[in-house]
Amino acid sequence: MIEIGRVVMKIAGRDAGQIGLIIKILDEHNVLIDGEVRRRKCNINHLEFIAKVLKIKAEASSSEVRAALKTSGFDILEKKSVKKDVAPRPKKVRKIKVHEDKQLDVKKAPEEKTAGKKHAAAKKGEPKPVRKAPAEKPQVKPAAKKTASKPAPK
Amino acid sequence: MPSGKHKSRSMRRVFVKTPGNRTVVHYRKRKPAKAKCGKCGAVLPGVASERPVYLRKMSKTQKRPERPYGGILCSKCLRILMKDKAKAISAAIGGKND
Repeated sequence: MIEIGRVVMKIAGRDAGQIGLIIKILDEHNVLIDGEVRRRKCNINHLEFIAKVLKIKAEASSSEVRAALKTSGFDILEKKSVKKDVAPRPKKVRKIKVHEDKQLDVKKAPEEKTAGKKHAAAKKGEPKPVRKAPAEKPQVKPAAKKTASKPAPK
Repeated sequence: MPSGKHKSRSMRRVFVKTPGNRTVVHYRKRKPAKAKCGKCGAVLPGVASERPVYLRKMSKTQKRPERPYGGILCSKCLRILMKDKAKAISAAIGGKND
């Protein structure tokens, strides 16, 4: 009855009602089982033998045991994976108004850039406090970005 | 004299000794009955029997054993059930072989 490859069902513990294979005999009271049950030592008193012996080598790997059980017609539950593959949360991108003077758009044609500079030159007559507005804005950004873009607004 | 509501036996009396060396009666609500096995009627170990407010604070695993039919059948009855299940599988296989 107790031999390597014997199909058994656990009758006690968390794995009760699940099917396994004996893959190694440890001593007169204990065997090593694997399959639908967790791979571990088990007392023979906690096993109920099923009238089937499968051909398997001693100390086979879990995947081999599961494959053998499936091919011989036993309905085995797939192991539930604990980790969930969750898509990363979409990062919120805030629209920040950049001051005209500070536009560093490389994609723009150089002609447009000079045009902007000319425009800025014309604007120089205006009072300066307008420039400070973008410097203060980084504080409004979310916490993750605060350390990176924290100027010293004094 | 105890007030009328305290005379009910649904509240249990607990004698408490105060720091002023007097013995006073405190009225406490009773715990619910312990859960019994669905088949044989034996008391189920590992199943919490507390008032709802305490049960709500407990986690799921603290309230029943982590086992098929945990909290419903005692371990003895579960083993009998599993043995019958295994024997049924053996019989089905035996039928196929023939």
